[in-house]
Amino acid sequence: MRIDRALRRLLCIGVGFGLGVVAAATDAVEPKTKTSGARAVFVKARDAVLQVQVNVRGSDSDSASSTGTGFLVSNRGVLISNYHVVADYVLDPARYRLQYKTRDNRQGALELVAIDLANDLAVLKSDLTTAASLELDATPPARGERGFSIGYPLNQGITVVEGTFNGVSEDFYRENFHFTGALNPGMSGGPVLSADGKVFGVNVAHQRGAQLVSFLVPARFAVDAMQAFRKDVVIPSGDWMNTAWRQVAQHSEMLVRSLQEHVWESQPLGSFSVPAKQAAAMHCSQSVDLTREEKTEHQHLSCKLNAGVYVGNDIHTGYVEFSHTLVRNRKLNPLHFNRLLRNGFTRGSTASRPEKHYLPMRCLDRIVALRGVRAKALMCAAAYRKHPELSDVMLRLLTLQGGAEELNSRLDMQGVVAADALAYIDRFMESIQWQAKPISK
Amino acid sequence: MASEAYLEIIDREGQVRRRHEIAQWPCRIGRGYDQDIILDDPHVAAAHAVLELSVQGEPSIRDLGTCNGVLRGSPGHRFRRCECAACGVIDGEAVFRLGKTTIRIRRKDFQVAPELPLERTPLLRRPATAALLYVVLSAMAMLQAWLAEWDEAAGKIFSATLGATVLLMVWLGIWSAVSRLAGGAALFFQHAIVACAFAIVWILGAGAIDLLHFSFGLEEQSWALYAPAATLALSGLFYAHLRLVMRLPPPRLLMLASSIGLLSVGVAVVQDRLKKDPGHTDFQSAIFHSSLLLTQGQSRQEFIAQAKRRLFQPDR
Repeated sequence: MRIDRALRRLLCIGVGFGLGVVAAATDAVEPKTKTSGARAVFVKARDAVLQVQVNVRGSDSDSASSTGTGFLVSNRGVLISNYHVVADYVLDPARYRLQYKTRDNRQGALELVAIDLANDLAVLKSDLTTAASLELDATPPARGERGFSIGYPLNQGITVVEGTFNGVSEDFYRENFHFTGALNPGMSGGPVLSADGKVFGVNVAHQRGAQLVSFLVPARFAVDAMQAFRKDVVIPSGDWMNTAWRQVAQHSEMLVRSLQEHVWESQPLGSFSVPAKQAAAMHCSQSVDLTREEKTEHQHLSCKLNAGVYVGNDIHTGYVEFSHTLVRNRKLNPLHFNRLLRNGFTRGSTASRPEKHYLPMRCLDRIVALRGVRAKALMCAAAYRKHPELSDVMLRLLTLQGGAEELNSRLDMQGVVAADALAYIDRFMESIQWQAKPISK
Repeated sequence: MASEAYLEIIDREGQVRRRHEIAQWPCRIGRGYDQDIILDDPHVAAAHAVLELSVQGEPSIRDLGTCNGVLRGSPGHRFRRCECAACGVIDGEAVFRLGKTTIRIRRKDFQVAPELPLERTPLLRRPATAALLYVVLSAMAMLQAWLAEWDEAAGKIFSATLGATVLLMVWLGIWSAVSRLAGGAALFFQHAIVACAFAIVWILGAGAIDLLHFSFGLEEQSWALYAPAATLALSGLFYAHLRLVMRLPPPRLLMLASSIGLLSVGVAVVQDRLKKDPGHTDFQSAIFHSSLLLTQGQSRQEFIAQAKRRLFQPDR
């Protein structure tokens, strides 16, 4: 069984295994000690937390293809989970079906009623009308408050994990809570409750290669998703895949347009001036490295906006990242320096994309006059097979200034509409400038 | 008795295969063993034709009423069946076809062309030329390897040169064997000159196209430039090799060679176009020093507009 390859960046299941389990209480082993905070919250919430399973149609109901967690938010059987938990079903409803499993092993069908890809949420409906439900609290607790995450990690059965709420994560374009607690695969979509038993977040991911750095979807987005669902009382019976792609398009449109509204900080890099950090959520880093025997020097500046959206297994989209490398020739002869630049220019430019998701990539290469310098420019675009209006677009620029310094710039955008991508690229190219006198040493 | 004339059997390439003496006129030709000259061709009748002297003393040929008849042709002309059983006067240049056998009759007094003076082996056939071209080709392979790998280049340069040499030897081995099988000498050095010259032209040509593309900022996709040039080069290669192997007349040889060239490039282009790998792209990655850049480059707006048209139009 593949456990919710969900919890996106996690995947290091082996490491995480067992570390986060603070209490794995079952009714069979009732402790005699005084109920702790975690115990109290768990007892109150456990009946509302279900395992969400994606099964291959026609298969045994005990052999799930992937699993996650969901929690009931109304006594009419409506539950909240993550979009990525049900993504297989959304992308291929003919092959998969959804079902829930309670902690006492009762099973039943689930129906999808709303999705929100940008916030990674799904609203589902079950036949559990009498069960207990949890209350969503749109107001987050104060930083440092304890939080209790409940879910079904790996094959461990229902589990409660105690952690610390650490406010809004600064790493993402979209609002995500930073939760210091051990979230593990299978817990995606589970509730995180404050000590008073209200849900303030939904388990969504943990940071790979880090210690207990986990992320939650703020409950207010779940409130929004519920409201949207209530307004739209008629359950859309339809084409969830189209809805999903439409939401990706909306997300990327909003992302690129909001970026376009920001002033682009420009930064000197040798004799060049290049576009650098653009938005608060954009993370930039700089480094310098020398090649062997110090024949060339490379000065890097790279920026990334973490605005990724998970659409399905191996389709992550919505990223914007760019980098500039100033290549300075110290000891190489011009022929070798030229070859070095040429190799660097095309490296990784047309990384192969899975054919089942992408149409063939198209490229265009030209000599383009930038401000103060000519450059070799290469732009490639690969459209999504299921939604050809969206493409992954990449730009490579290599200045042809002719001296001992050249600039190699690259820009990658995923899941964007052509017009937005081109407008952004236009501005990116416009922001690159060369001046005869070095702007800085 | 002294011979009067000679009957020569001509092969497809126009060369004399066998020569029979004609001891006296008339001379009977056919497949039968009672004939003066016996032709082992199932399409020739037992008694097919007779060679005789006309009243003017000129030799002529007469069909003896066979089903396939006697056809007359001359160099560069098609064969035509002779009317009224007679093919007219034989002039020493005319060729005749009996069944599938081509013959020519020349009298003893036929004027042959004057002797050709002995010449030194032409430059293009000397082993020294082959060696020189091989050295140039190896130097180019080494230069390319050196350009690609400047750190610890010696090993890479050696293996690149060795690779090129092995490839060349395999190619030459094939052509020499074909030359031998076709009934002649192996002509190893002549094939070597052809192959080395081709490889040098190929490398220089590809570099020149890349440079042209870069310098003028050409908009054609690279295969549109490479394909015609490659066709031309490959046709030339096969023409030169085939000319050493078979003695077809030049126009037919040229046709054969260009068909091979066209076919191989065509197959390569079609294969390339049919590739379904979405990671496959067609763009010019060659970059030279900016002093070789002769174009001002297009404006940013123009580039964006072209990208919009070429990368995002939904003609997929």
